[in-house]
Parts: sequence; structure tokens; C-alpha cells
Amino acid sequence: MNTMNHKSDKKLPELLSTAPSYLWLFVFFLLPSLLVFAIAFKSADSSGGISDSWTLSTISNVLRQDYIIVLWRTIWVSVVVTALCLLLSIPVAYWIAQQPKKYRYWYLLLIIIPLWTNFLIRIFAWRTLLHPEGFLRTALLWLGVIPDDMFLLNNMGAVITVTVYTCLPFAILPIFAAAEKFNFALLEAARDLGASRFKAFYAIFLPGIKRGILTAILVVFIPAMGSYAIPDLVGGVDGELLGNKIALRASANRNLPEAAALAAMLSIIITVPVLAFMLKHKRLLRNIISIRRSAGDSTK
Amino acid sequence: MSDFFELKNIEKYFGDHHVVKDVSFQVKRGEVFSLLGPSGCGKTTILRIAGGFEDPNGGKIFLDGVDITDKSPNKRKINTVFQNYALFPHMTVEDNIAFGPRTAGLEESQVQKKVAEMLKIIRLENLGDRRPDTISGGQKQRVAIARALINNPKLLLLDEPLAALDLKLRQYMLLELDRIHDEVGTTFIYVTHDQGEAMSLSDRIAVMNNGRIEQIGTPAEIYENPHTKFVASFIGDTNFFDGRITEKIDGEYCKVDMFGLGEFPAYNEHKLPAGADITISIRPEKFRVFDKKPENENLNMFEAQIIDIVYQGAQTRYWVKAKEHRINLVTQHNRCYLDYKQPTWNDKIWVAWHRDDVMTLPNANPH
Amino acid sequence: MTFAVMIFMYLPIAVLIAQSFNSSRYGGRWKGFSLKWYEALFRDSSVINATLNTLVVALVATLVSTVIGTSAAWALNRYKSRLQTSHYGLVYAPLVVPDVLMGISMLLMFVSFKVELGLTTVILAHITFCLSFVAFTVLARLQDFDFTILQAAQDLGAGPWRILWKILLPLLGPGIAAGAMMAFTLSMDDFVVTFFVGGPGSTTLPVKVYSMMKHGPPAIINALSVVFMAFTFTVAILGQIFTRKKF
Repeated sequence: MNTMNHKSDKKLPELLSTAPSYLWLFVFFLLPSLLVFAIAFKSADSSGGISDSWTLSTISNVLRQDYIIVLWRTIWVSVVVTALCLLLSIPVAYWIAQQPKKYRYWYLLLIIIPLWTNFLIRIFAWRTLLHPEGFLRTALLWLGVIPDDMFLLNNMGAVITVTVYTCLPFAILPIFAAAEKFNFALLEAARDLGASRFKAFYAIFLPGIKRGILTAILVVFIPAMGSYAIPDLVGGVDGELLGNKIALRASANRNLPEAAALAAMLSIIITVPVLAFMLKHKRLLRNIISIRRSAGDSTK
Repeated sequence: MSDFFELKNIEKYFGDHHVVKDVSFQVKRGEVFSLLGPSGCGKTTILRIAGGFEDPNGGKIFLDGVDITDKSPNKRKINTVFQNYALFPHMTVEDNIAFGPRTAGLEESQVQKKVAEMLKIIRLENLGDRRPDTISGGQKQRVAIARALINNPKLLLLDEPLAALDLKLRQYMLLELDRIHDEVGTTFIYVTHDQGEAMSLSDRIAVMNNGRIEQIGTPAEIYENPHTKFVASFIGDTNFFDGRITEKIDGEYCKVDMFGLGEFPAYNEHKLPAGADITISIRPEKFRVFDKKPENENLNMFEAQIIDIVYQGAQTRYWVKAKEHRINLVTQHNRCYLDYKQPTWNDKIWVAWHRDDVMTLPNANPH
Repeated sequence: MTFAVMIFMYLPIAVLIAQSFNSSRYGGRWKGFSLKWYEALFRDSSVINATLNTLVVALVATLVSTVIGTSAAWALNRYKSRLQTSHYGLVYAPLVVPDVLMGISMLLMFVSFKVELGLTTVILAHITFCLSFVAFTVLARLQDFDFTILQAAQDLGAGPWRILWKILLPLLGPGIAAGAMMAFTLSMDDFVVTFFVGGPGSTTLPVKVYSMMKHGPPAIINALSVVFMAFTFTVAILGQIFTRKKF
């Protein structure tokens, strides 16, 4: 009995089934991701392509004042969006988790259905709504809630509102998944031991759904950092984020090495904390996958 | 009855793990043969080797005198009842049972007839069109058996078939299995870690430990005459004492020193020599309890003090202390003397046993 | 609170649908029910063209990513080796990378290797991001799959083909179909990656919607959005049915 022979027998089907995806992602995902870092050390040639020589000037170019302002803006917008999403999704998830089991699925479906609409169309819907002549501003003016010279579109507020809108389902789903597993009798126990309603919520419920909250933070923060279409369509000049700068450098105002350098900056900013975070909470990986899958969409 | 299934010197490694070590046994036609042992002892691996799902690293397998070692599972006249039933979830009970004959290309009218027969044997005639997830565990179990038996296998392998059922159902299914076996007469190899199942169902049992067969025998042989310490402790309850053989008495018997308790005559099953260090095993029910020293010179005895009593209805279990030993013994209540004073906590009693009820086991394993 | 969030979620969509039937050119005030924007939409050949592109890209991307993704899921589920650990990371990573990064990195690669941008590059990019979603959808199905039934079938005399047709396909089919549905919706929905790696002649519906939003008459976009929405809804509902269905 040749055990070696036996082993290679078993290795072949594994290689055959692994090779297609492995090679594909290696060529079309890993390689380009690394290429970004290499091209950041090139400069642009006159025809909008990439020159052959190496340089540090592209890197020093993107560390300019105006890019740093955009970078800083991107980070704080993402933080605000993430915070708002948590603020809205925790009560909603808490409420749905306490509904009778047979209704929960339907409530969840109601949360997911807007995701079935194309991402751009959802942004466009907001443009229609926030338009100076649109329903919302007209209504608010009529109610006297906002001054005459206040516009809802083409500013930072619009970017934040619409980003929260598109990300909210992705925050609700993981928090709900955690809240559903939470033993609500613990809240009663806490009240029984003298905790106020708020204290019970804060000291027992929130730690109990920690994993869901962490997942929600990840699935909101990452796409927010890479957001491009939303600031482009509802942000106006002051609403530009890093994603817009990358797109601009890749298309109209073409300078591919500079786009690469910006992309490298963005990926370092996202990857380093995310990687650290994930190594600490390995199970979160699986959560994120199932959340994005159950939502039937990706945040684009 | 003749030997018609045989495993010969089977060896199996998983990586560096030697999980089956030189296992050989023969099974007679029509018998229920059990592989009994704790989890991880290699019994399931042996079953999978017999079924063709694992290749042995050494040894041969014979069925009806033919070497089947290199045949794949679908080419062996052997079928398996899997631990978690492995019913096809997308097929009805009938389609599950009919899978084998249909695969073999049997005519549909024949298939229908055979399926109806099987449903009758397992007494599920009116569940034929149900899906597996709509029937109970015991019913699934019976479907799995029918699905295997319909192919008229020469040998049926059952891998812990009752493990997933609760106690009540397990007892019922044990009777059902016995009935089905009597009805079809197929040879069974039955893998279990539950000594009760093995004892009540099997003609013979192979007790396994650590990849080896420790002993093969009828349930009574295994219980009354275990060959090793492991077998004595794995099957039934027992008390172990360290001891030494001080002298042999007329071949059959010997005198043993049960350190601290005294020297007693005992049956010397393994013909161990004088001076050998041994383990003495006495089962709890072999002891008798007296309130004063019995006048019977055929009995061995020592004095002890009761430290705990557990009343169990049909019997009472006592924990007694004698010197530094704690001993567990059981008395049956087969007579009811209402005026008889039962011994109670801290009572001094006499514990006695017969020399034939002592098992003298060698300390070193024969392997 | 939940009620308020629901309004927040649905109000924009409701307003959009209403506007698409408004005869006013720039939205805002209601000027009467009209289907004229839908008529205009169906007369616009560039919209028809973009629709065709979208379907071609989605179909090819779905087909390829379903095959490769299913194979990947199989490998990830069946084998536990060093290779699979790195395989897992490779399949997982595209899920947590923002689209902007995925788009720009693929664009840079295509440019570096002098690949002409067009429908082909769009399809290659779509396959890449669909693949991971298919793999994880099918993987979830495989994790519920009891592999001993394959041994049971073999034990009952079935050969590889019979096992494939009678056991594997009926049981894993719905999971694979759900993965394919997912790939189809993702591909049809994608704007950002397509925007980066697309070239002349590869305009898909989302890209078309984008350029109309930037330059075109808004009312037609309303109509286009509603039609597009109806289509994705159908696909998504079908997908839901497939994912929910359990044996």
C-alpha cells in the first residue's frame, strides 16, 4: 500500500476545483491591488498613460494640502455616517427583534426591499426629493421650518443623508441578527436588580449585541470611505470626497499615477485598521459575508 | 453457520495516527456481530473499511470467500445504515427506499413490489409519500434500514444506528431491529459505544480499545469472563483491587493477597504464576451482605462499614469502606421480609463473595 | 422609530415613481398624469443599446462567475489545507474592498497591459466581483449539505453520473441558482466598477442613467428608473424565492 500515491490522488480534485477561482482572483484582484502601489511610484506621460521611469514626485504630489483636506473630510464624513447609522439601526433592530417571530421576516424584508432598487436610482430619488423645487424643500418652506435661502441639495448634509440612506439596511441586519439571539429576560433581570430602563439598555443590551454593532461599523464605514457616486451626484463642490478625486484623476482630468497614489492612500487607511480589527474578531468575517449576502446587494 | 465475512490483519493510518491496529475477525452467516468500544477506538473506521468508504493501509477483506478489498462501495454486496440516516432529503420515503433497485435498473413494477414489501417489514406502509424531514427520528431510522435491506445485501453494516434517538425510542428500536433481523435473516455488523445495545442485540461482541480488539465473545462471556482490565471496566460496573498471587492451588485456583483485606482463594482464569502482580475485579452484584459474620467456609469475606446507600427500587446500591478501600455493591430485593432490618448508614456489615466470582486479570496487556 | 425609518426608506422611491407619471418637465409641481416620458424612453435608441449591453454583460458574468464560484465553494467546503486558507482570503477580500478601489486597480492593470477598454474589460471586472458572492452563497448551502448521503448513494450502487443527476444537482441546484441570481443582480446594478473599466461602446444601463442624471432631461430618468426598478425587483424576488426554498 503506497500512502504517497494515495495522497497525490486526493490532491488532484482539490487543485482542479481551487485553480479557477484562485488564478482568476490572483490575476484580476490581487495583482491589480498590488499594481496600484507600484504605479504610485510612476509619473504620467503626455498622452494620459503611465511613464516607464520611477519617481517619488507623484507621492509628494498627493500629500498636498488640498488632498489632505479631502482625505480628512472623507474620514469625518464616514465617521458621522457610521454613527448616524448606528443611532438609527439599534432602536429599529431592538424593536424588530421583540416582534413575534412570524412577523420579523416581513419587517426585515421591508428593510431590504429598497436595496433592490438600483443604487443610482436611489440617489436620483433623493435628488428629486431634495431638489430646490422638490417636494421636501417646498414642504419645509411652507411649514416655515427652513429659511428661504437654505438649499437641501449639493452640500455635505445631502451627502451624509443619502449615504446613511444607502447604508442603513446593512447596519440594521447585523444588529438585528445579534439582537435576535439576545436573551431579553436579561433586561428584566437587570430591572429586577434595580437598574433603570436606560441603564439596562446601556449596560446589558448594548454589550450583548456588541458583535453585531462591530459588524455594522465595518459594513458601513468601509463603503462610506470609498464612496464616489453619492458625493458626485448630490455633494456639489464642497462635498467632494477621496473617491471623487480618484475618479476625476482616472477620467476627465487624467493622471493615472496620481489616481493610483490616491487609491493606495485610501487602501492603506482602510486596510490597516480593518485588518487589525478582523484579526481580533475572526468570526466577524463570516458575519459580514452573510449580511451582505442576505441583503442581496453590495453597497456601491 | 459458517464464517462468511472476514477481516484479516487490517491496518489503517490517518496521517501519523494509527487508528486500526492489526484487526482480524470472522463473522458467521446470519449473526449479529457488534463492534463495541468508546468513541475514537476505531470501530467506525473498521465499519467504513468494510463498506468500502476507506481503504485499509494493510490487510484483506473477504466476503463469501472472495477478496473484496479493492472493490468500491457500489460494487460490494454490502449496504450501510449511516449514523445520521443519510436519507435523501429531496425524495419521498418510497423513492429513498427504491433508490437501490432503480439504480440497479430493476423494472419499475418489480421496484414497486419490493418497496411495498419493505414498507411492510418496517411497518411504515402509510408514510411512503412523505419527505424525510416530516417523519420522526425512529421512522427515519427504519427507512434507512429498509433502503439498505431492499438490495438483499449479504451483509448489513449499522453505524451507531440508535445514537440520535432518545432513551425510550432507543429501547423500542432495539426490539424492532431484533425483529427485523429475525424476519430477514441478513448478517448484521453493528457498531456502538453503548454496552446495553450490544449486549441485548448481539450474538457476539468484539470489544475495541485504542484501535485493537481486546476480546471477542458472546455477551455472557464478555461480561462474566473479561480478558482485560479494560473489558471488565467498559462492560458493566466493577470493583478493582490491586493484588498479588501468593501461591497456586491445584491448577484451577490460586491464593491472592488483596493488600490489606486479607488473602483469599480465587479462580485463576489466565493461569498466572505465583508472585505475579494482578488486578482483581469483583462485580457489585457478586457480593452478598450479612449483618454478622456468616458461618460458611466456602465464602471469602471481610468486615466493612456502610458509607452510602442508594435505594433504586429493584435493588439497593451500597458504598462500603473496608480499610482504605471503597467498594460498590448491589443487593437485589427478590424477597420482602418486612421485619428484616435493612442495614443502614455507618452499620458494620460483612461482605462475602464466592471464589469463582473473582476475576484475576494480568496487569500488563497481552499486546 | 421603526415607522420613521420606514418613511425615510420609502419616501424617496415613492416620490420618484409618482414623478415619472408627472407631465411636468422638471418635476416639482404636479401637472397631470402622463405616460409621455415612458414613450420618450422607449424611442431612445441609446437606452435600448445600454439595456442590451447590460444584459450581455450580466449574462456572461453570471455564467462564468457561477461556474468558477461554485467550484471555489466546493473546494473551500471539502478541503481543509493551507491552500484553502489563502484561497479563503482571496475569495473573501473583494467583499470588503470599496468599489472605487476595485475599479481603479483594474483600470490601472488594463492600461498597464495595454488591454483596450470595452465590453470585454467590463465583463472581466464583473466576473471578478460576482465570483466571491456566488462562492459564499453556494458555500452557505454546502455547509448545510450532509455529505454522507453521497456515500449512501454510492453504497446503494450509484455511480458518479447518477449521483450528480439524482443527488447533487437537485439538492445544490437551488443554492447555485440563488448565487447566479445574486451575480446577475450585482452585475446589472454595478455602476462604479463599470465606470472605471468601461470604454466606448460598453455603456451599460447604470452608466447611461448616470450620464442622463448629469446631462439629460430629468423626467425621462424617472421613467427609466421605474422600468429598471421593476426589472431588478423581478429578479430579486425570484432570487428570494430560490434562497428561501428548502427541502
